[in-house]
Amino acid sequence: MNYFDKPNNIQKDIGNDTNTFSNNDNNRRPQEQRKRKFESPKIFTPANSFAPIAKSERVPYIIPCQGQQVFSADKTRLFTLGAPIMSDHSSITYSTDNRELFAKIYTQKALQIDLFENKAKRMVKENVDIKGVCWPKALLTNSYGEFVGILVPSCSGVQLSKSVLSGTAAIKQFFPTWDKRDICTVSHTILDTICKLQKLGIRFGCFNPASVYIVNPTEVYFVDTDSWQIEGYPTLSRNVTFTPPELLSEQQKPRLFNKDEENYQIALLTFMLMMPGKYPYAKKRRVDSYESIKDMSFPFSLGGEARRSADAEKPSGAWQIVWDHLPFKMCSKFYHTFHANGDFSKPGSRLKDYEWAFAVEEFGRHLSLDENSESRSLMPRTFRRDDKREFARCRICNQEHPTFYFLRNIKIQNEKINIWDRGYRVCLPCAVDQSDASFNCKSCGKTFYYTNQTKIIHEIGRLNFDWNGQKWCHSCKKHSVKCSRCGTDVPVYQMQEYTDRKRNLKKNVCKNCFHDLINESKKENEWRNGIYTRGACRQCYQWFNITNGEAEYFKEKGMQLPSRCPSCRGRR
Amino acid sequence: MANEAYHSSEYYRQQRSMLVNGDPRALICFCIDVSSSMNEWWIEDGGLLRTSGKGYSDGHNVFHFNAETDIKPGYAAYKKIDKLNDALASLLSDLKYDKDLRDKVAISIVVYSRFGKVLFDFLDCSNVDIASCRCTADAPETAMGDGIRTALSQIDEMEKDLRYAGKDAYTPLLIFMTDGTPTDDPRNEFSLIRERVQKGDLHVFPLGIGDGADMIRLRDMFPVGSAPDRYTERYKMTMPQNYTDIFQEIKNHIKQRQSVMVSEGNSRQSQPAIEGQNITNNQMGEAFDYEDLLSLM
Ligand SMILES: [Zn+2]
Ligand SMILES: [Zn+2]
Ligand SMILES: [Zn+2]
Repeated sequence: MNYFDKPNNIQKDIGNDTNTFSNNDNNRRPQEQRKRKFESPKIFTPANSFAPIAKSERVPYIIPCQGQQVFSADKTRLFTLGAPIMSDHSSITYSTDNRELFAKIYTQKALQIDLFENKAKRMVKENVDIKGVCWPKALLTNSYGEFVGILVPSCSGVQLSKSVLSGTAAIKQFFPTWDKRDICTVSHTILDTICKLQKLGIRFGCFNPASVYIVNPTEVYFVDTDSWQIEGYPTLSRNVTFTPPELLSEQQKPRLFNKDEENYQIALLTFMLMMPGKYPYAKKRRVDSYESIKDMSFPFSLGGEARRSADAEKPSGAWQIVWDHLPFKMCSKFYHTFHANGDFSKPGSRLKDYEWAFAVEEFGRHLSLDENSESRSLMPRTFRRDDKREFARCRICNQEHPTFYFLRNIKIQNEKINIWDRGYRVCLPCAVDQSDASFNCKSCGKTFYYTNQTKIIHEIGRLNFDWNGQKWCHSCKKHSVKCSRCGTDVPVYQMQEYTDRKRNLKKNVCKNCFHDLINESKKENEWRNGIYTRGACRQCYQWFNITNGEAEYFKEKGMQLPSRCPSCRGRR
Repeated sequence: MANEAYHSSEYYRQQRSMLVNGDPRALICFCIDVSSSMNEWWIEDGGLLRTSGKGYSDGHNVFHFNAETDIKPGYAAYKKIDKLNDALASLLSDLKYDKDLRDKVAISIVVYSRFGKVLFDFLDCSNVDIASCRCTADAPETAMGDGIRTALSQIDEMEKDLRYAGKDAYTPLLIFMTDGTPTDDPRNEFSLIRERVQKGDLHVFPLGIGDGADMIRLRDMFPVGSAPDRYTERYKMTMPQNYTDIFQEIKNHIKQRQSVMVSEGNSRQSQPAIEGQNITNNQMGEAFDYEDLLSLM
């Protein structure tokens, strides 16, 4: 599909670069040459000050919608608006009766300022013809000739924000056959397009991954190009994700971004493409998220001096492995860009856009040469194999892992025991995984399984441990409630239910109170069974006892004490 | 005993799932009242033909009747716990079979009556066995405070695990349900929730079940002035339709939060000019006010 007019000078200059790694023989140009290629003349001149923005002189009264007609500004063409396809805060993009064109119509509110019209006029003056860039082709008016929107090339695909940048599950959902090579290809397609745009002097201002649509690894569309920063016209949106850390604040005003700030966003995009969906900064607990980002706390390390930030948790499992499969050169670039102490982390010192495009291209080439490589997997199951790493097989999951990924020592009563030397081959994930040994909590009734590591501890230190000693789970143990009698905090599992039969009441009390209550009731029972008085039966003249309890009962009922013995009473 | 490490089977499944799926997670913790009063019936006004006596339980008067013969035909009637389980099961299966959400949303269920306890540890929806997520009514007590403490610590633990695993997480969601008044004093726990909601560390849905729910007290979970519109009416589930409506609202809330990249955090997201099933939202983040743009001049 080619939605664009005839190729022009720009196309000749930059538009014929290959996006795939299949025919890459002529791509092995020295970096210098590559750099020069991206430093040719701009057609837009990035500005340091805003273009004038004012209230529109005339706000259109009628904003065309589905089923209605719009006109090209020169009145030579007429389009009927079809179903709405996309929308943002200030516009609705409709399909038209021309399959290759969409009509982006601004809201009445947006048209109250002249920015949209002025920017659109400036943009359509230039014919930017880069594959996948949906550059405005003409201004659109309503039937009164008032400016209402722009004519743009149509597009299709899935949003970058909803697919690759949402993580592997989303990639599998939309592109089930993709592996890391496809990620490299699509990343290169995107970065290469960005380099071409930058070269023309076009900036995003704030990169918006929701306006990039992916059809396949080599077919990607950049829409809403009128939201970009064009000369003195600022970008219209902002997001937290792509805002350089030094600019993050609650009250961010519209601004014109410089090349370095743009380079930061390109670096971030590259990171989130290579580590699909992963944001580079570690979120700290209960800290304002802006603070975490401003601190540039980066959780990945390079080895040697280049360690992860002290306040960032070490990523375990999946991400550690994905990071390990990226080429060292690329990791180094990421590290030095996102780590607070990195060489390129300070504003003004960031790596240039083409460096990222180049790194991704190189990685893609490497992957396509290296057959049956685990690195091709989106979420590799284990670390990269290289000459220096020794691998062993875990006896539990039967997966091969490098030896550093195995449980080495366990501690039994402060004594360190090297289980690796004893022949145990248990990888770190399996060490904390479920074993077959379990117990039922006596308080909550749930079944809990010991970890394999705990099971090994039991196996080795059998004599010192009571396997069946576990009665309550952690949560029942640490869980305390107030004793309903004495008010002290008591672990739930120590609470006992006391039934007061006389008052027909149940209450939850602590151990001590339970004993007290039992004793009280015992004493009471003793007293109740104690003899209150003796008397001779009026009928059989036998002596009989009246207990304290009986006496109390009759008194409560307002009755006289009985004058007959229990057996004579029973006979009546 | 030192070094004892044991967990529920859901916990292990979740850890395994995190090992192969690096995607961000959204945590949803249900905190459900299972006091014995949840076993009681709700009958539409005028639907009860006769009663066979009355009694006192779980802090209020109850009527006895025969569910088979004493309810007028055509009147809505259900056992609160059954309706709750139905609504829960339908929400869980909605999530479980939603392609966008199933691998991102992890749920946990905490129940409370005499004490709070974990019925179900956090687990990705795609792995949830819905049949095992049924609540049963327990003791005649409503230890709300303890239930909340258990739920919050459950969320904290899982957030810690996610942090350890280097996984990003959305703001967790607490869905709190009760049918009555607390039998413990949950004021401290309510203020813990308020603080977190205020800071943006937690989203909360405090739901009342049946006529006896103390909606005024529940509204206290929101920081002053931030309770949703018509909170006391909308978040009270009485008629069967209320359950469906509120669970739909929860699902929409989840979907909406997930449609934004996790790195956006709780930052404001502006609304597109038009919304619809086949209309994609090209806006990520916030749009500048037109006044802001004019002020540049
Ligand atoms: Zn293993
Ligand atoms: Zn327990
Ligand atoms: Zn006590």
